[in-house]
Amino acid sequence: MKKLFLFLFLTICCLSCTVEDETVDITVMPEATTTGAETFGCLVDGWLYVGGRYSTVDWREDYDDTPSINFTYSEKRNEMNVSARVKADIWIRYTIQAPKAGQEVSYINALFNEEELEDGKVFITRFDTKKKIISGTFGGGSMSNGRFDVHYKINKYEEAPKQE
Amino acid sequence: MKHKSYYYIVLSILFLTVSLDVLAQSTDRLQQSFALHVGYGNMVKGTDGLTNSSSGYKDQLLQGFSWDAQYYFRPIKVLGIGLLYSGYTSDGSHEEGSDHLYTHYLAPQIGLYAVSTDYFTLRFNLGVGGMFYRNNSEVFGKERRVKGASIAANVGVNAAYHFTRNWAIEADIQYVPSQLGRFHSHYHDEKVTVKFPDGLSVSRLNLSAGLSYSF
Repeated sequence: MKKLFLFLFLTICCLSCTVEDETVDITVMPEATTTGAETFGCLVDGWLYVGGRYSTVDWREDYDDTPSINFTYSEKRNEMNVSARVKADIWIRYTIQAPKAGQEVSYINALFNEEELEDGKVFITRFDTKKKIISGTFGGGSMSNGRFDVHYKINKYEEAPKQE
Repeated sequence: MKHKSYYYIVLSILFLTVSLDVLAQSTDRLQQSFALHVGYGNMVKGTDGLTNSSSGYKDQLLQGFSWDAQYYFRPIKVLGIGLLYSGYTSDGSHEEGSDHLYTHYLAPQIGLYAVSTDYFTLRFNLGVGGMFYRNNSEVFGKERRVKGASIAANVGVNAAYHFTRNWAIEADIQYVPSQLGRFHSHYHDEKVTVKFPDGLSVSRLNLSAGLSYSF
């Protein structure tokens, strides 16, 4: 009976697993690039946090895997939702408002796990809507020296045709 | 794997110690030498794992200062057995941090004396041992310590001019090829293991000179 419970417990746990890419060194800031290199890094209170190492793989059919660095663009709202898993149990999240290449724009709703951070600015070095690449630098308050260079996704729920 | 490497190194040293004892009894011509060298080191195949991955910065860290100590016991005229310790350091900094690299190599040696006169000796040597990698770096002013180890080998050539019966000046070239499969980075009270599927090269070439004392 105990073995059955253990089996069921392990099965439930393994439906969604954290995967660690040990080739990513999260103790150095990724290089500043504009090629969609899937990099994200910043300082929070002076300490470095880098994405790319921890991601979630979901074995269930209707669930998507969650990459370590997740940028989702909402065309309707003209905003980019950013979520980067920088440790096994730490996420950095914020929303970039009206991203535009070559311009400094604001980010809001910044979170370090559950801790709210100050709003700040993002300088967008590349925003390629054809190749779906966004690159930039960011910072504000306790979050500083940030940079990212990623492929972004379109918010598919917003794109779905409306059924009246 | 790491423990296995140490096991082989210890076994090699024990084997050499026993060999020394046996050979010492078979010859009257005991000859030992101890040498110290300093010089130029070059990590010829480049290196990754630094706090900045730009090629200009890597080039800055590839050239540095090397030093070594060598002990040889020469039971017969053409053959010597001994021990080599070789160190290397280089450092650099950039806007976001700094690196201070150290590599330490220790290996038992076999030397073949191609030329041996009263004044001049030319020796070729090779060995297999352990390479120990350190990088005392900083990232945005915060300490980052990196450690790694791997098996390495060396081949080299040494030329010595004996200006007295005991003392000689030496020129020494050593090539030490080695690759790390992983290292451990200590940052923010955490230890992060970083793997290198294609290997992190820590190979180096030493060009050095120094003094030796034979007895």
